[in-house]
Amino acid sequence: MKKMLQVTLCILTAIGGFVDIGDLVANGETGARFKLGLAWAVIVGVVGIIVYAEMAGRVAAVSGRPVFSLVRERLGPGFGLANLLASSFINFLTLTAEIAGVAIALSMAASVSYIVMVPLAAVVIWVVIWRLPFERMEQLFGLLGLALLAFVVALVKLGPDWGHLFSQAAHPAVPKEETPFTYAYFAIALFGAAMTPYEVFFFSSGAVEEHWTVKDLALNRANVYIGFPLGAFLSLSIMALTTLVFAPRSISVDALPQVALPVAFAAGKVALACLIVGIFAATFGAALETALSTGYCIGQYLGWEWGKHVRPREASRFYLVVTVAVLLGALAVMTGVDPVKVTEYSIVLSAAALPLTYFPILVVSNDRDYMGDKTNGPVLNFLATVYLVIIVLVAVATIPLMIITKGGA
Amino acid sequence: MSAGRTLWAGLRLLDRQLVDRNGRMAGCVDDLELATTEDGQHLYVSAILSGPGALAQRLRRRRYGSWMRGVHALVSPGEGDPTRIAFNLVSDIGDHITVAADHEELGSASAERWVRDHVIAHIPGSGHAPE
Amino acid sequence: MRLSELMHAHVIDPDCNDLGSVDDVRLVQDGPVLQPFGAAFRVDGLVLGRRAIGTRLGYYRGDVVGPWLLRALFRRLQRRAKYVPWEAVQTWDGDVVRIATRGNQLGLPPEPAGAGERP
Repeated sequence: MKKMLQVTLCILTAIGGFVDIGDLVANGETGARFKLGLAWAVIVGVVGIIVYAEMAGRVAAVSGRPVFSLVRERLGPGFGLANLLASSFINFLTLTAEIAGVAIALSMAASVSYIVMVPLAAVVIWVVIWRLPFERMEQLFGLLGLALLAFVVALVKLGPDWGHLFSQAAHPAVPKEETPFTYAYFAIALFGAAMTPYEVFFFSSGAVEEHWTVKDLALNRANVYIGFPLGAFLSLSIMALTTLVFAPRSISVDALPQVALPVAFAAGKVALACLIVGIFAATFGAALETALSTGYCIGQYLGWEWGKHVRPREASRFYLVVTVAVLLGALAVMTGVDPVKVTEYSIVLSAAALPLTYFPILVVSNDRDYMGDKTNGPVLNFLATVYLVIIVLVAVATIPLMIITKGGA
Repeated sequence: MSAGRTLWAGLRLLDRQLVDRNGRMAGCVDDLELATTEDGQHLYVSAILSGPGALAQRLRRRRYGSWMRGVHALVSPGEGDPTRIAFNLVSDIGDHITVAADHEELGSASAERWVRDHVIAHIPGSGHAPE
Repeated sequence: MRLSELMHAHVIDPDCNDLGSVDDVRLVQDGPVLQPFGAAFRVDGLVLGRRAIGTRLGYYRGDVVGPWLLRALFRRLQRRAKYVPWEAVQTWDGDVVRIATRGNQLGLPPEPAGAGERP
């Protein structure tokens, strides 16, 4: 049982990439508008994050260096700063959205406006970061997040024609009501969500927080091979659910509570309650991931002592950054801004952050000086290079597509 | 570790993490100070520069760098040049640079101390061990 | 004087050609003794080249062995790099380094010995 718990680092990491508030809504919307025609984008994305997170985890285990240290070291302080600014904005915008998500999940249970829940959500998030040890935090929210399996239960209960679903996924096509541009935009958004930089920032920093060493390389692999596919599986289940329930009725998804409707419809009150717990855990976990990543990026770029593995007194600047981020995020949510729109804007910044994050990881995992004999093999290198090319193409195409499609409207 | 090594400054020294004798993070190598040899013919690396303003100088934002040093002088008067770590103190050069000193003695510690004493220490539980 | 000032400087040859900016600096550990560290790192020479993002990555001067495509790419770029031994430097004044050797007479940077360079 203890062994199984050790993969919770990656489950928590995967939550941020596949089932946080932005992903829950995006997957729901994709299923409603494109049915399963974009399932391949999630699959391409999950393979990419598995490849790169394994490398980032391996570098952290062997050398003790987390990703953002490598970014500054290999790209220099100039490009490193560009990445820092882009990533900090992504981290902060996403944190804001996740705080809103936690408040929304709480309001779904308590039937009050979610704005009222924001201060409570922010305080609890902060207290967890301040006091709960990293391993406990990762285990608690990683496991609670599994309550999202209620989506899968609902899907099975609908008794769909699995063959039909699979063939839809295997033969992607642009639906009549959509244009190739919106199709491409959603594909890029799904891929970008699966490979969001804060996942590797969090995963590699988490590996250092957990004091992984060369002996933990198998654990590193177990984490990525279990955590991310689980996330992708949940993503695809949501997509399939809205394909079956919303698409035929031409209902579109733009808010978090709507994603819960198919579960209530197909599997009843108990499943819905379970789902709300899952949504709470997932948005809370993603809030932890992005709040800590804000601190990790800035602290690692500037060479500060960082992390939850030391006393707050010993990493004061790190904790100050994280605290201010949570505080400002909560204030931003209370202005009433639409949290889903906020995550969409952060996609633009991913265009810059993605190549500047993944390129250094690829280079350092091939550096004998860092890795000794644990450098990448040729097959992994080939796959990683292919993905780097994809990442650059995605980065280049993001902003034009966003403009052409007016944000996927 | 005494003589004969060859290395490229940008690759092996600049932007590397500094670690103190106890394994604590102590900033990054933001820049290197060069001095002239006695015969005036050669330059050698005399110190590591790390901390308030040194990075700004490197990114060619001189005014911001001077401003940061001014702030630091206000906050911790009498500390001299906070960014200079004499190269004598370097004890190892690997994927990070180890310095034979306590991080508290280094310039960048003053910002950390300030935040600790004025913000973090006031929040209950700041001394609580992580596990 | 700071290394960053040297690395932002442009190198001018006797014919007043601007050979580009300093990309990296080669250090050899045979300078004055700094106790307890040992001999200081003396500036041995300057590498000129386009300020490409790949130069800090370690493909040419370090131990990065893959992936094949990137390694081939960066090695190719390195063929255009030029090396100025410190003896050829006449003056360094702010942003400008004047050297005694003509640009087209400069050689390639010394081959790095990789991990073997360390005792």
